[in-house]
Amino acid sequence: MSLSKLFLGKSAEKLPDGDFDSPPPDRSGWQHTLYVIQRDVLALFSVGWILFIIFCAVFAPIISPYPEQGQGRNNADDRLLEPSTTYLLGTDNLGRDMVSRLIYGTRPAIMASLIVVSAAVMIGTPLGAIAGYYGGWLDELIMRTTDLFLAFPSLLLAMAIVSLAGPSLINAVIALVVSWWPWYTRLVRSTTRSLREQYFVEAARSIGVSDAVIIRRHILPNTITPIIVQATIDIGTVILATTSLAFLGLGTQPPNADWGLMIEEGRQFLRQAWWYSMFPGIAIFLTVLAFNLVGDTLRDIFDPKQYR
Amino acid sequence: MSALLEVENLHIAFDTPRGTLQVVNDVSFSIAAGEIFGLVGESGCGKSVTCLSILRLIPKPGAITKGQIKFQGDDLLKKSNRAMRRIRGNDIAMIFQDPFTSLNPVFKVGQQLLNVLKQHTDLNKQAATARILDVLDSVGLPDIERVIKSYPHELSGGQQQRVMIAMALISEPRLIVADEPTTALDVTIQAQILHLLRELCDAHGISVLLITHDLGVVSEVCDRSAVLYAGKVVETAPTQVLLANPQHPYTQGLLAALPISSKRGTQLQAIEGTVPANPGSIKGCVFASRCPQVHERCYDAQPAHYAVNPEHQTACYLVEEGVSDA
Amino acid sequence: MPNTLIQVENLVKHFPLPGGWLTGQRRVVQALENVSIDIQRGEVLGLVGESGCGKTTLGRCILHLEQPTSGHIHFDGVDITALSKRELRAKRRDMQIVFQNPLASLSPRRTIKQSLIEPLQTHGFPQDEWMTRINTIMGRVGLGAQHLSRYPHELSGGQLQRISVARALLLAPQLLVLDEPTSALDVSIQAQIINLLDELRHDMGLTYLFISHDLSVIEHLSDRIGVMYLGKLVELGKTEDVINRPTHPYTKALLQAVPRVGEQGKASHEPLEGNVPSPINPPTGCRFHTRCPIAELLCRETEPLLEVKATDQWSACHFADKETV
Repeated sequence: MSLSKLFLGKSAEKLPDGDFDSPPPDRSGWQHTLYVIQRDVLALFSVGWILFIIFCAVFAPIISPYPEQGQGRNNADDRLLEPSTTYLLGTDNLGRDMVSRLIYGTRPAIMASLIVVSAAVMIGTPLGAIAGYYGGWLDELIMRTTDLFLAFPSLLLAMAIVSLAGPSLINAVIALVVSWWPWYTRLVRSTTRSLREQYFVEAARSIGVSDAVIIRRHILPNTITPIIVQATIDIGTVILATTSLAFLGLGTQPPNADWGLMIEEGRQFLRQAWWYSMFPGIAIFLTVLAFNLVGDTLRDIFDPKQYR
Repeated sequence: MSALLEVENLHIAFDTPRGTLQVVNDVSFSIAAGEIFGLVGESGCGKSVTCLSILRLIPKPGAITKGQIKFQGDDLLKKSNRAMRRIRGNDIAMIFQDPFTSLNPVFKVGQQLLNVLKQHTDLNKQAATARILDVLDSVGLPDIERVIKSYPHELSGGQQQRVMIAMALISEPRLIVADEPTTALDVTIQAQILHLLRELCDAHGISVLLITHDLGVVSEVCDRSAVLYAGKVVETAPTQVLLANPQHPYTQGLLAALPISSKRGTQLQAIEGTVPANPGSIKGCVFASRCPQVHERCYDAQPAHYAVNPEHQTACYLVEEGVSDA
Repeated sequence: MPNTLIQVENLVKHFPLPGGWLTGQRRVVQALENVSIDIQRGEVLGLVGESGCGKTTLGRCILHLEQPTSGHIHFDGVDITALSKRELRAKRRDMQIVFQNPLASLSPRRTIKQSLIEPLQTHGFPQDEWMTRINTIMGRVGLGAQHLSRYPHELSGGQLQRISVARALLLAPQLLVLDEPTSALDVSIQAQIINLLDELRHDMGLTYLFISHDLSVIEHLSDRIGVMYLGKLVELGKTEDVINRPTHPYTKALLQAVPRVGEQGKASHEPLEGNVPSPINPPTGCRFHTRCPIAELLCRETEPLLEVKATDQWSACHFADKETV
């Protein structure tokens, strides 16, 4: 535990010279992670909820009470039934069990957001690293292109793609990827720029390490933390985006289950069957909240390592 | 001369997830009116925390666990927050190491000085401006009109530090606590600032508590000094006596490690080992693990302060036994 | 083998500042202005000066971490400013650098072992030799194998600086540039590192360019000292001469300003006035004339050249023989 880091780092400050030959810290990486999580109730909730959602998405056919209804089969006799023991959260307009529909609704949400965020990271990171490391005209070129894409409203872009290629979840995902990658370019570029000035990068250059290797070995690993934190929060935001697009009819198409779609379907029945729109709405809210909280927790997990 | 500041048996601990870290362990010293007192030590010895404690500005998770800090007879540790705020910047002022980060970058210099006056006095605008001009002049800043209208980043390091000193002086404090005020400055500028501090001290009778790791600085301006190691005061004496005739092995070690011209070409005498990570848990003398003159007794119990003469004290059994190897 | 390892000729380094599109005039920071200096094989050349004097920039130009604006640098007879990127990379083996902040100069997410392997891997050393070389050099700097698996933030300043030195020496360079290697260390650790550097120098026949603002450290280690001010070399000579018989007024002022143990009350002596002028807009003529106690009209108009003032002692001053008060 070095004291000098408790005070603001100052330019001429001496490095502490404590007894650093003590054995390595008693908490390993995983133990530290668990420690941070259990300390905070909200963190506990958010991690728990996310694990639950993922579990639902993976095991939907097994855990849904009425899997075929979840997938879309109608059940016209049991339309708009209130929550009861047979149908725990009620049924929708076509008599399908809400619980199953909600469980199946996790699939587009998780899949779409994972694809969008991964694609954005994979496209944005190398571009950002190149722009940040080399500067000059390459930087200008990449950043102006980024600005261009950032200026597109994702909704209009989605509508444009849909009008060309027809509405579907895939097309919604494509539209979102196009809107999302610039954020990561920016993030990685600014992180790279500040890392570039660090002594250890200079040291690598003075040893004779080539630029490409420096970027791969020294710069990118140090950009992972901000990327992960941002990506986690973004998963929540993308879920909001995909469900919104589905709500507008630009994303998941019926009879597939999707929370946004369900909210839209339930709009006309708000008076008679409040559960139709309400539960998907709650699901979206809780999931996005959980991802936001996890993002904050991740920051806490990564930061204290600096102060070991 | 009665003491202006008396620090008695000060204990400061930091509560960390890994346990309690005893940062300052029974530190005592006193500063008379009109003297410059040096607190010397290497990094981690607790000198910065000690000076922050005088103004009760220690950041959490640190806290003063025991001791008294008497300023003009009053124990500062017993005062309310409101009373402390009246003292800070007013009776006791502080100068920090890096002037650039200590001055607010979005306010002009004149405005910052005015803010200090508004906080502690009720001078009208005219009187305040006169006072500002006066104090900026006394710290040797040229082109005062321009300085007042400048932002901190428009001034050089030396000028910024002078502005900080002006801010400290403006409410006519009795004591200035200076935490490494010249460490971040160039050598020639450092000489100017030290010269200035000495002048101000002589002219206005202000006392200065000067924290530094540089024995040369201490030698130049400090009347008396105390050497700190791992949260304990190991030796206190008038500066020239301390440097010419050090009694504690740590002080001796520090002096022997300095590169000075007489030793060119030979090996410097480094102090073996490193500072203990948790000095609070050590039963005996904190320096025992590194002391070249250690013996059995040193590991058993912490030595008290023994007087070499009324002005020169050191916490070492060797002095008590009269067998010091100085 | 000729004795001059490094020959710097009329080195100029300007850093352009952003802006100036409208006026058409780009402002520049004149970091180095026509600096010529040599480093002899096997010596320790100390470079001293305050902030903005260009000493760090000079070191970096010699290592080609910065591209000079104009001028030449010869390393062992070869003009390195004219080399291609690939040839330069090969030459990098012969000159290495140790930085001021050892914690910052090691990659935070790589273990010490990985950081030490990097130079060996980059320059194609056979893999089976790596560990032997690393262990040897770690022993040389006083560290052990237990430190290899640690991360930089788990080690102390002194240990990290030893590792930086070890890494620099792995390639067996001829020249080691040390940029303020002890400034971030405590006095007792500083002594350990200075001793280590001295020892290694003699054992391995190294040449050092030792850059520092700390005159006492420079004095202790260097054979010759160069004093820099605002991008120019103002004095150059043997250590003993420069310290005891300085000829340039800035050197004299610098020596006087250094607080030394045992010298009390020097604070009552008038210190050097004024601030270092901006390197964007340096003074005309002699760059020191704005603060010089013996400056005259000539100093404002004409820049003094670096000339011999005494045996092996050079100074850039019109009035080097005049007594300063």
